[in-house]
This record gives sequence, C-alpha cells and structure tokens, in this order.
Amino acid sequence: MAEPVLEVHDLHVTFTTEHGLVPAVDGIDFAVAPGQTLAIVGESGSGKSVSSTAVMGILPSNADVSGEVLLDGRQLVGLPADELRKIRGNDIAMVFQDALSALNPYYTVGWQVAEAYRLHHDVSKKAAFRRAAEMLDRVGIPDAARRANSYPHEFSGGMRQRVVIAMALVNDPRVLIADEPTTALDVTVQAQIMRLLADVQEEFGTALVLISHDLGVVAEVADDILVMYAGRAAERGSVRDLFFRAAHPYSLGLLGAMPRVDVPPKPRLTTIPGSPPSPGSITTGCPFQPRCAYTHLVGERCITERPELTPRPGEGNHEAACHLGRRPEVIL
Amino acid sequence: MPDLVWFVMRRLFAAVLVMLALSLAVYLIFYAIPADPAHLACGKPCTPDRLEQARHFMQLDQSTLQQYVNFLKGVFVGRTFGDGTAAVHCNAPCFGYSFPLARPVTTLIMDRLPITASIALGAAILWLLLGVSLGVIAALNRGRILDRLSVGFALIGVSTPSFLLGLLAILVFGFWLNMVPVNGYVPLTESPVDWAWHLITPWIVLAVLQAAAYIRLTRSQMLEELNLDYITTARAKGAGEARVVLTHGLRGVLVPIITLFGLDLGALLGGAIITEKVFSMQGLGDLLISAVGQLDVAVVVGVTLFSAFLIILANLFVDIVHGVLDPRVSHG
Repeated sequence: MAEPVLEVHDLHVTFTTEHGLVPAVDGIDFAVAPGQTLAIVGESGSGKSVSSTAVMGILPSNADVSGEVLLDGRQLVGLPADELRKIRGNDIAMVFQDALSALNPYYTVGWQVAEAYRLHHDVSKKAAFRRAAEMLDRVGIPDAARRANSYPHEFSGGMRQRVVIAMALVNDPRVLIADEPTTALDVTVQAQIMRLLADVQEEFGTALVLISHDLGVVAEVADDILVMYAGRAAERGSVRDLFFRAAHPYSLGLLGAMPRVDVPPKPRLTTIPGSPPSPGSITTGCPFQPRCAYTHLVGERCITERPELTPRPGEGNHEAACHLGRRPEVIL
Repeated sequence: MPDLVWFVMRRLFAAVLVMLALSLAVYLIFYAIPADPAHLACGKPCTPDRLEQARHFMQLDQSTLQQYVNFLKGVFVGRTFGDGTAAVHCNAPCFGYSFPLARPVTTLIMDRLPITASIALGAAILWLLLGVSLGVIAALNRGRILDRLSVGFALIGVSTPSFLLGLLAILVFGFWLNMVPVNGYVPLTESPVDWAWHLITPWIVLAVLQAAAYIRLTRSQMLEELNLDYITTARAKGAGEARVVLTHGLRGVLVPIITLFGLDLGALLGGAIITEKVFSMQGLGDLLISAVGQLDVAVVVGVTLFSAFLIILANLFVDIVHGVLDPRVSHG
C-alpha cells in the first residue's frame, strides 16, 4: 500500500453534556492512501460521523478531541484555529448527507462553490465563479454556466448532491470525507453519485473516507472497511476480508441484514436483536456482548474483559475485537 | 419582474379598498360622538342662528352619508366650503379641512410629517443597528455574561414606559448634565447639525425601547440559524467564524428582522404620540392628540387614514423585501 495521506491514531472524542461526559469515539485508528477508499460502517450512534467531523475539526465546542490526526504526517489535533481553517475545505473536504440542508438557501450554487474556492485562493470573484461553473460542469450538471446562477431549491436531490460534491472538490483536496452521501437519494441516483465519486477520485487521486451504513454501496467502492460499534473499532480489514472472512459477530450481523444476490437466497433477512448502547453506558466487557449470539462460546470474559483488536487471517491488516478466536459459524 | 409589478399593483388595489373601508369606519365612529364640532366653531354665546350657519358652512347639516361622499369627492377634485368672499378652498387631494386650525388637513399632515419622520427614521436606524448587533453578540455568547447583559438590557427596554425613559433622559442629559437641548426641533434644511442635536435624545430613547424586541428576535433566530447544516458546511469549507456568522448566519436572520422593522417603522411614522409630547415636538402624534381634544374630526380622520396608509405601505414593503431576500419566495 502507498504511503497514507491521512492517518488517525487512537482518536478519542468526548462530549461534555448535562448528563456528564459522553465518550462518542473511544480510541480508533485508521489510515487512507491517495486514490484509496476507506469505508467506515456502523449503526447510528456508533461514532462514525463524529470521527469524521473530528478529523475536519468542526465539532461543537463541548467536544474534546485527543489522539492523532495526521495529514501527510502533520498533526492536526491541537492546531490553532487559523491553521486548521486553511486545511479545511482545501486539503480535507467533506460531502454531507443531506444536500438540501447543507447548501445555503440564500445564495446561488455558483456563489457557494466559488466561495469555497475563494476561501483558499486569492482570485477575483469573477474568476472564482468561472472556476465554480467549470466544476459544476465536471460533476455532470447540465448547462452548468447558466445553472450556476440558480438557487439550491431549484435543483433535484441528485443535482444538489452533485453541487455539494463540486463544492468539496473545487480545491482539489487530498482527502474527501463523504458522510452518507447517497442516503437521502433515490436508488438510481445513488448509483450515479457513487460512480461520480469513483470517477473524480480516480481523476484527482483523492483519498476517500466513505461513511455509510449501506454495505451494498461499500462492497462496490471500498478498498478497506472499518466497522465501528459504540465508539470503537469492532473489526477492520480489506473489503474481501470483511465480506468473506468476517470475524466479529457484529460484522456478521450487518452482513446477515443485507440482501444479497451472489449467494443462494435466505428465507428471510436476519436482524441484530436489541439496539446499540448509548455512548458510555457500557464500561466493562465487550460493548456488543448484550446483543451477541456467541457469548455462550466464550463465557465470562465477554462481560468482564474488553476485547482488543487482534490479527485475524486475511489479506494483511485484518483485525477484530472479539474474544472468540476462531471465525464464528453463522447462526441463523 | 412582471410578476413583481403585478404583485405590487394587486396589493395597492387592495390597499385602496382597505382605506375606503377604514375611512368609512372612522367617519361613522366620530359622527356617532354626541358632540357637535359646529358648537366649537360657533363660539360663545352661540345663538341658534349662528349655530345653524356654522353647521351649514361646515357642511355638517347634510346627511352622514352625503358628508362621506363629499369627503371622497374632495380627495380627487378638492372642496369648497361656503361661497362668495367667505368661501374656503381645499385643493385636491383634500382629506378634509380643519376649521379650528383654518388649514386643509393635507397641508397640516405635510407640515408635521418631516418632524415625525425625522424622529422615526433616526430612531429606527439606531434601534436596528443596536438590536441586531446586541442580538448577534448574545447568540454568540450564549449563557455567558455578554448574553445575560444583552437579554437583561432587552428586558429593561420592553418594560420601561417611553414617557418615563424620555423624562429621565431629559432630566439627566438635558438639565443635570446640560449636554443636549431639552426640547424643540430644527429643520434638517436649516442646520443638519442642530437637527441631529435636537433629535439625539428622542432617537436614543426610542431606540433603547424598541431595540429590545430586536435583540430577542435576533438572538433566538441566530441560535436556530447556527445549528443549521449549511453553517457546518460553511465551516467545513474553511470559512472563518466572522464569515460564518455574518455571511451565512445573519442572512437568514434578516428576513424576520426586516419584517418586524417594516411594521414598526410604519407604525411609528404615523406619529410617536408620547415621545413627541415628552420632547415637545409638533409631529403627527401631537397633531392627532390636539385634534381629538378639539373635536377636530377632519384632522382625526385625515391622520388616522394617513397612519393606516403607512401601515399598508409598510406591509407591502415587507412583502417585497421578503421576496428579494429569500430566493425561495421569488423563485418559487
């Protein structure tokens, strides 16, 4: 693997709330190289979005971030606000889930894309607007030069997401973080947007961090996968490791809940019983233990001892945080 | 743009209808008062003959409906009371004639309007600036000392009667500190400096009282606005905090602020009765109060209609500005 452009080591994010300290992200590591795609998957509340916003440095003021976020080896955590501002939107850009609310309704899309460019380039408004129109054209907005003067509400959902992507890519960032970029879209449009992301990634050599709970999308575009559960890494590895050699019962649960056409159809999709724990509510043992179907194979350890990531057979960096040493048989 | 022209035309037509209904209502109310304006004109002692003469001259001997029709006619072609050498002319647009003041109502209003407008416009600009900036400061420092101070200031502002604050200001700044003139008005055309100097105290008094609503509205709108996704987008683009708040945040806050501002200004232009009284300024409010005291129905009807017209105009202005400020309204 090439040198990673973005490395995250032992990232912790803790929110100070009325109910005390809430650890939303409790020590995760990941890395992504130019042109590569890392998918972070997990249920709502698993900390996947918080990790990405922590990398961007745009968490609210009640969040405490510690650990290492390295961009080309340069530590971003603790960097002065002014320095971080120069990196945001320039070296690391973000695509949001809901393009309608992510775009400012009071300004034209061309203005908004041009603003992203002008924030990092000393150019005239006119030149920036021309650049914005080019970018809108690049992401497949028909008649882009004219449509740049339209407002967000005058676009369809898919076109709006293209605008958001144009805004993120206008500065040719090294890392693109896409937080559920297709969740709010129709299935056919989802495919178009994912293809667009793959195209521009190839063209610009961007490292992509894709946050998703849609394993179907992930299987298609990701190189590596990080499965998060309750603010921690449950399992990580290459896309083949996760799909063919999943070692964590939670990963198996996610796979079982996904409809597939490549294996003989099951009578019905499986579900993971229960719901994810609220952050910080499980302090000892394995956070997945209350919902796990395999605890009887391990016993007491699941309740008393927190499992750490340990190497598993696979393509190299396959690791899982489970006391069950061998690959669990699928229980249906 | 033709859409806008149509819109304004429709609204102006509706405004005329509203004014017609209003003028009729005001006429009927004042003619239901069991007091005879002719009595005042007749003087003391008043013989029945002279009373009858006065009534005839003032056209009060005609039916109420006929008087109303005369009034409407006067607006377009003017009116003449009496005949021969004693005749009194009131040129179109004639909104009635004040016999106690021996002037057409239109002239009276136009004479007084500059004073009221000077007070209202100056105060409005001050309270808009004061209210919005304190509101933004409060929102950005939510829960901290600056927030408490702004909200406390707003609370004092809404709960203080204008005559109290006005009299206190005159006492402290006019008499004790001898910094500003205690009353009087100098036309702008005569001396802009003296004009402003005589108006500064009423401006500040009105601004302090009115700013309260703006502080609270700006604060709550801004807090809501800052939680929106597109604010996060602006941060993710690398916009500095000032740009995030002023360019992206304030834009959405402006719509409700301008709405309130238009209506407040419209109401105030119709006469700041108490403020004018306290500062001895002969504006529209003063004209109205004197007219009520003297049963000068023509002036009361005229000033009331003028105020109503201003309110309608303010509403129209607000709707147009709303369309300009929010592309979702105009580019539906």
